Amino acid sequence: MNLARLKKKSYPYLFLAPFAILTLMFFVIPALATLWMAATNLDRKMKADFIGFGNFQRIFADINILPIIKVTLIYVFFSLVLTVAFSLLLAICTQYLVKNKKLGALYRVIWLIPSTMPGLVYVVFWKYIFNPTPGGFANKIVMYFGLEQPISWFNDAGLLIIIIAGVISGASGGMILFSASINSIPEDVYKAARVDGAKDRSIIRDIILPALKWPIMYVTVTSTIGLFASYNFILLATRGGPVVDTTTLALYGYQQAFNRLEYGYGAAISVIVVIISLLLTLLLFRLFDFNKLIRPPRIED
Amino acid sequence: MKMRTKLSMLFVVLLGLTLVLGACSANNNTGEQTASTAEVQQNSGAKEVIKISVGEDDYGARMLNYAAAFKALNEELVAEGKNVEVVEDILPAVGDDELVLQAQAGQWRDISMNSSLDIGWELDAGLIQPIDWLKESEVFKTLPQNLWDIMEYQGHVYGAIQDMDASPLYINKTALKTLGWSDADIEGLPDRVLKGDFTMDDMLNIATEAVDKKVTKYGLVSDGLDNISVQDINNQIMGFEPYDQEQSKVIFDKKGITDTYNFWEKGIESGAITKDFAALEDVGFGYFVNGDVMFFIGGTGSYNNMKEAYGKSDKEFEDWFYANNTFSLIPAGSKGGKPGSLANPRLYYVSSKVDEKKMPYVQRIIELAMAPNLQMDHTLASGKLPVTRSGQEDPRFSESRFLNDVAYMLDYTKVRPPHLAYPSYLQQQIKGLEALMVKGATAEEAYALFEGNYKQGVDQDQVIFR
Repeated sequence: MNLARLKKKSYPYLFLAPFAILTLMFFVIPALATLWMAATNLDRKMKADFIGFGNFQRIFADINILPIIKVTLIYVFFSLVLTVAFSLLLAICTQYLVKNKKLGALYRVIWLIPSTMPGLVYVVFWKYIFNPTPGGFANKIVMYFGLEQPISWFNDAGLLIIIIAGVISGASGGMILFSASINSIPEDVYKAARVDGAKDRSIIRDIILPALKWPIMYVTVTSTIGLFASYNFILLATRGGPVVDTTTLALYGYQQAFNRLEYGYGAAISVIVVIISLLLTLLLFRLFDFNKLIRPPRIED
Repeated sequence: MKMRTKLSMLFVVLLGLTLVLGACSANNNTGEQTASTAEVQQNSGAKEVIKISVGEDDYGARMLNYAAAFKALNEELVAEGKNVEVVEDILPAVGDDELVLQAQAGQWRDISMNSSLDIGWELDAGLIQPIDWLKESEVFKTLPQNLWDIMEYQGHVYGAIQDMDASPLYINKTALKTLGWSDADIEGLPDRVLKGDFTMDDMLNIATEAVDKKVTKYGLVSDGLDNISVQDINNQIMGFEPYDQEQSKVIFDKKGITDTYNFWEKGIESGAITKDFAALEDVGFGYFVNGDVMFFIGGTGSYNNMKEAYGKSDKEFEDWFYANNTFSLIPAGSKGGKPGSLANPRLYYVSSKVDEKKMPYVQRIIELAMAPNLQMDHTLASGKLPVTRSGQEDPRFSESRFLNDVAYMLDYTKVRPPHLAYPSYLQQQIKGLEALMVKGATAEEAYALFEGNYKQGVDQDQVIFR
């Protein structure tokens, strides 16, 4: 192989190298370090002794794990279903049902606002609304209608508030993706369907939704992974309380590592989070018939 | 040269430049973060420069006092004819987790501040070292013995107390009058508390009566669920502090803990304590000022909070406060028991990396920052109390009626044990309390939750279970 040919062959690798290094530094090494930590008793002393599966045994004996897994599954399931459904609804309404394109676009931009807000500001907004004192927005309303004592919203319905806040903030990403996909359906397809007498309902069911299968799968899978790993909003809003009523697995891992300074145990919990996410992702791939989706097109170039 | 070749060359040059700049930047950081002797260096004028890093802590006058101490030390060094300059290096405020991680990364704070509660784990993590020189320090000569106890752990002094608090029970005098108390009865109440004649149960009964008769909206409010006030109540109910100093072990006492949960359960059932007790953390003192609270437990700093909530001049507030309120120690758990007060003092800690050469300067900075007038500056800014008798002799101290009146509480004030196994005890005890308050758990269920959580997360050799 001559030098010129070698140089030519090396270009792609040269261009990929910086990103490969970044991936190695910020993804692969931390992931491996987490796996290593999970097998140690690393704590505030920063001395790690290898304890094998000791942390995992401890997880299964932890009296909080079952309630926390229950909270996590409720949180992920409802957040996921509502986020995807809401995104779809918004996309179909603004991209297909509302015929005025500018109005639809404006509506989508408005829905983007929550997701563009810094997380902290977003939490403050919700904490103001559901402030447990008589000065809270929601309490002002209920007390105006005669309730004598203010409601401790985050204590009584913390998980529900967290799910609603997450859905409102998270729906915009899916909405944009679904809107783009709906927009890519040729107008002729709609016209042909209407000529055949199709109503809006059957157009949505038989044309739009099948065309959205791939984006729906993408949003579902990425949201599932994201929801399992997310804890920021919960940490700032309720710190996982009362007791463990709003503690998800990811938050519990964070608390063990950074509040109790038990890095090994926290890492083991985060490994469990990753394993559950992976299993669910595989399940979703199967559910969406991923193999069929990525089959090569039959149309020849 | 082909365009593609030019582009690839440009890319390689940029990549190289990035790596070089990155390396330079890393070198700079390393230089800044190296602790101790490496920071003792000769500057161009042959003057020895000693950099002392301090952790940022903006509360009250802490940072101003640091600055004053560095200034004073440099003046003293000049007067002593020493060719040394001490430079303050302020490192950003961090939480406990970052403190550990930054130490691991080589960034140590020569002097840091943390709660007295943190001695055990900071020592265990290798972050701090003993400062037994404090026993000989002139500045701390007038420190009361109970405050010395706070700074000692396993036979050594590990921290220098920076400020002190007490936890008064603020009492709504106007509400008591409405309930039929005479002026003499009200004025005599703090004395009854002192003698153990007025107990926690008495307090709860009055709080219940005030709520039942709609004299106040709330019976008993504190400055938070996970604040020291709640620990104070629990200790008073138990009648002891859950710590065996001789054996250096936390005491997990089933009867005592169940008694405390029973107290809270009774309070909630009677309406004297509301289930949103925790949510009143930042507004409770404001409600007290509005007259909506019968009893409020907070710190001496709560007086300042109330003053702000009242929104008028110091004098007007003082007049209003004494006309409408009084305060006492926290009542005993049973008749004839001792009243109590609990504090969360801040301590100066010295990094385990400070060596013999640097230690004298670190010592002098701490001593100078604790000058009586600076203690008082901090008191005025924070509402916390000066720790030494000399600090309380500052003329500005005697000008404040409240500070004078509350100062006696220092003699009764304890702190939470600095033991390694204690922070988890607190966290899990609060979880039990949350279950009881918010989720309607019984005292037994709250205890079971506390016990289960505590036992699974603590080294049981560190605890006496009884």
